[in-house]
Amino acid sequence: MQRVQPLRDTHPQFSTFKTPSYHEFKLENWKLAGDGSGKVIRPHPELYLALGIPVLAWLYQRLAGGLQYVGLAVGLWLLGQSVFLNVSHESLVVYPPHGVQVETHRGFRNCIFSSSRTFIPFTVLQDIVVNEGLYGWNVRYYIVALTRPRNSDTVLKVVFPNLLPHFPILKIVYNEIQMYLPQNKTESAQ
Amino acid sequence: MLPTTIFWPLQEDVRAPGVCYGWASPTKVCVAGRFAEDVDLETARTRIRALRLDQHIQPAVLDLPDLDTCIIVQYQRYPSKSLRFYDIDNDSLAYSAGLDRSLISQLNLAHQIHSLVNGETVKLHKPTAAVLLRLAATVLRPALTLVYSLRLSFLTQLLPRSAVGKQLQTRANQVGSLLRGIDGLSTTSLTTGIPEYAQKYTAFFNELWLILNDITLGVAFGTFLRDNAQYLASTHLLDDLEAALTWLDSWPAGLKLNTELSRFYSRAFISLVHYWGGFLTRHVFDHTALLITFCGYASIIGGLSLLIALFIDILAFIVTPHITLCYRVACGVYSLEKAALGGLWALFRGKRYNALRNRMDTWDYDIDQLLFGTMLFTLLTFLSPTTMVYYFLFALARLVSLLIHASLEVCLAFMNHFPLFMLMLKVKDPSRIPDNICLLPSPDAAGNVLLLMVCGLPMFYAADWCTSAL
Repeated sequence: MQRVQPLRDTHPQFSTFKTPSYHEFKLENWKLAGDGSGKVIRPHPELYLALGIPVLAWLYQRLAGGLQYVGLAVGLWLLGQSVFLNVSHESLVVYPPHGVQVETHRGFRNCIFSSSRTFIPFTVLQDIVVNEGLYGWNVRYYIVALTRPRNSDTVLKVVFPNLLPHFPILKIVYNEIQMYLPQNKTESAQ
Repeated sequence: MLPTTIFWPLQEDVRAPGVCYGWASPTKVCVAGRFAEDVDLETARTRIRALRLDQHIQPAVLDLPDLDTCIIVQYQRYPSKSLRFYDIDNDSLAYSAGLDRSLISQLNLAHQIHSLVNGETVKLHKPTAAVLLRLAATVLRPALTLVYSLRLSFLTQLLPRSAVGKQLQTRANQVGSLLRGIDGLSTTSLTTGIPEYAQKYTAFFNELWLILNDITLGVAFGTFLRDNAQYLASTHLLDDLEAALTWLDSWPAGLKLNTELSRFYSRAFISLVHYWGGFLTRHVFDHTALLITFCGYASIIGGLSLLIALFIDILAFIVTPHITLCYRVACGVYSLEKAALGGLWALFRGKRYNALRNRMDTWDYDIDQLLFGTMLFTLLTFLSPTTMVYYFLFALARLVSLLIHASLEVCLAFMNHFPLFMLMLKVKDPSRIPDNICLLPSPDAAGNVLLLMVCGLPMFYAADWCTSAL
């Protein structure tokens, strides 16, 4: 039971971990450089903090009166957002008899500030599909869980909403998750 | 073949010996509790059978499979008097091999079954709440019944647009639901569902808290009003409007209006305003202090919401009817002129409106029709700035009065239906208003143990409570 990286050469930030009770697809918030050199590109919120505080102090001196506090508040909010709300990793965890859970963890790699988890039981989950969305001039693919709570309209829940990985990762997640979904199991049993 | 899932309460040790009881199904087992070590199987069975509950919640003695081959999900068996519980979305698909609503209701019942099996009483609320409920049942109930019996249901038919009538009816409905709540919360059976009870509890105390807030603020404002009976400056509305009309008559901001028409308009509207002002001066202004004192007493008895409702009614019926009337007149003239201009513009271009087909058709007008139409068009075009200016003045005045009316109504809605209790619970004890659960791998134990936790509440859930109270 070890963490496996299915796409080690191109997308090593994606890893899976399988135990008898759950199967986790984890996506971390870094990537390899696009030129094939193998360099790792990480977001550095500490840099924002280091650069932002002198800028804030300079602005504070320059602005007049009440505008100082407004500027300070706005600057602190932006800084705080980039540091504390920085996504560390997102995952999709399948608990085979029960349901799937979409998680977003914010903070740094060693110190997670907050985790938000949404559990979707199989009684509410209709299907998991890879959908395409228009993003500016591009087409981006994303995995979405179709849920139907309370016999009302279908509600879509996007998996990996902040990181939005590219298609090779989505293909692996989609293929591996199909064997856990109950409607596929009943079809194969028949 | 999926391994069986066992839901185990955190309060019981997984590996300790002893007979367990709970609910079992082919793929999942929910353990409600465990007997002491010295209790053997037959005694256990007898004690469980003695419970004699309904069939769908009757537990049974469990024959657990080998714990190493199963998935163990540990959950917090919340004591029933803490009113904490689990909740997930309503499920609609017929799949029940895993977590679904029936399992969640078993988790919520676990502590009550545990208390029943061990012979303890099942308490559904904390001691302070019990005292409050007893107080409500003995002291408040007669007062509330009296108030409820006084509800004047004919008022709303009499004054359909009156805010005071609506507020009195809302207050009567609240009192009615409080009475029903006292009954509902005091009579509980041994296996009342915690989620429904918690919902009723929250709704009851929310309404009680809102009404108490209302009355407290009402007493404060009411004594203030009663002691200083000075009034809102209603003369300003009349004087300012008259001054504005006179200003419009005399080339406002250099805009040269048609003299005769402008004079006619300003005189007509000023006479309307004078008429209303005369009515007010003769009948209302002498009794303004009395009116304010009446508002004060109404606020002390009925609360701040009744005071706000009275302000809304005073605004609508005493302070602004002349603005509304002038607005309607100016609006009528303006719309008539706009329609006329539209039709004449069509004539100018050689078209006619076909009412049957709802479109513009080209039409051959006679020369005298064209001449007359052109003359009228020119007339109306040069008169239109005047009508437009007067219309905009009254539209602006009406907009301001509508804005004040709307903000007062929003305040009223806040006083009557704000989810104060839910907000306090969100800060103090979020497990009492659960939205969803989440599963975590257990940090200390082996790979087959998971933890079940309650997840937070998104704010739109509070809006649900809001609309259901409305």
